[in-house]
Amino acid sequence: MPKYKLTYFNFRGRGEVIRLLFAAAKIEYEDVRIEMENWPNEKESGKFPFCQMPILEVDGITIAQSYAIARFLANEFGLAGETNLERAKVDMIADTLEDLVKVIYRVYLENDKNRKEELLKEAVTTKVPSTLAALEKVFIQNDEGFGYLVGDKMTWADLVFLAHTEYYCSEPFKQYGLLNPHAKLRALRERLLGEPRLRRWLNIRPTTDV
Amino acid sequence: MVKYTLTYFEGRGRAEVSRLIFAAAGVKYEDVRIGFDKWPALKTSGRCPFGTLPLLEVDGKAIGQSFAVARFLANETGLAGKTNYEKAQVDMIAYAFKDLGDEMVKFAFESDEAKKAELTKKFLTEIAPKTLSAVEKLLEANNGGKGFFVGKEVSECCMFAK
Repeated sequence: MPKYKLTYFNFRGRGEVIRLLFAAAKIEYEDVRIEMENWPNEKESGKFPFCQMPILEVDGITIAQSYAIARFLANEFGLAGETNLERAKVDMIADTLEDLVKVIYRVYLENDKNRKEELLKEAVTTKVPSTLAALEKVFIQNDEGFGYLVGDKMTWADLVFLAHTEYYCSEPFKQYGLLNPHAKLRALRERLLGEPRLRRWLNIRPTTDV
Repeated sequence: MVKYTLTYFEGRGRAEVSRLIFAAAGVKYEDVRIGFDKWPALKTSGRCPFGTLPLLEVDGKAIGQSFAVARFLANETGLAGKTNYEKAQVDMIAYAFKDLGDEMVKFAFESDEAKKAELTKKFLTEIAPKTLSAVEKLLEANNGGKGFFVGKEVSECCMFAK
């Protein structure tokens, strides 16, 4: 049994999809969390190929880039999609949601109050609604959106969706009800929250703001 | 015989990696290049799953997102890496170059001259050297079969930088 070690900040951020993958596959791993103030020192250790986190260490090998890690684990655990075409659909959805979450993160990271409000308004009136609408359309093409985003079993695309939609359910996005127009996506989120292995992780994980 | 249609703008941009994969694999495809004037119509046509290009159409299925397309083609043509670990290494390096490409887009499309100069300088003196030396370290550590795919990424980025 390989020994997995994930190193990331003590946030959900770009680590949470990976943590959800371990949970979904019910695989043990070491969940190392570096506090922000310790990162400058850690960064210089030479352990991080691109001086960034997350990294995954397994069998003496280090993988960087959150989606390279996620896809690697998904492939190892059978959560990547069954055919090359399914895998491509998973990738397409994951990459689209990644583009969208960058918009979300920009709102969180902006310190200037006025600019933050501007970015927030922009996000909730344009990028988020249009992407979610497109996502629901794509979802409905897969078995009318009654199951998972791709194929007929859970893939890491569903986990990306779960991790990212969490931001819509808390401040400052909560008040905009971003998922309200999308019944199928809301139902998917509820289904995923009800999956026992994911539920277990969500109940025990550290609580963080982002 | 599978029929592939790749649709993008005129230019290398986010489609060139896929075009290079077709070329490397010796696989024929329809290389559709549209002018910016044709884009609004295509965008609203519903053919692009998330309203973006490049778009790959194969066997009546549509795939968007440049890396999803590239990885699909690499998997289909055996250019993805042999093991899950090799595939992860390919991904890691591809994402490093994607991040570089995203930084390039920032200054390439910046209209404010002063800001453009600042961003270009930061890219050339800090961001690019850091990423390129990290990638070089990885290549030195393992010049496995994935090297060919990565090699094409390098030349693409160098051409763009020049």
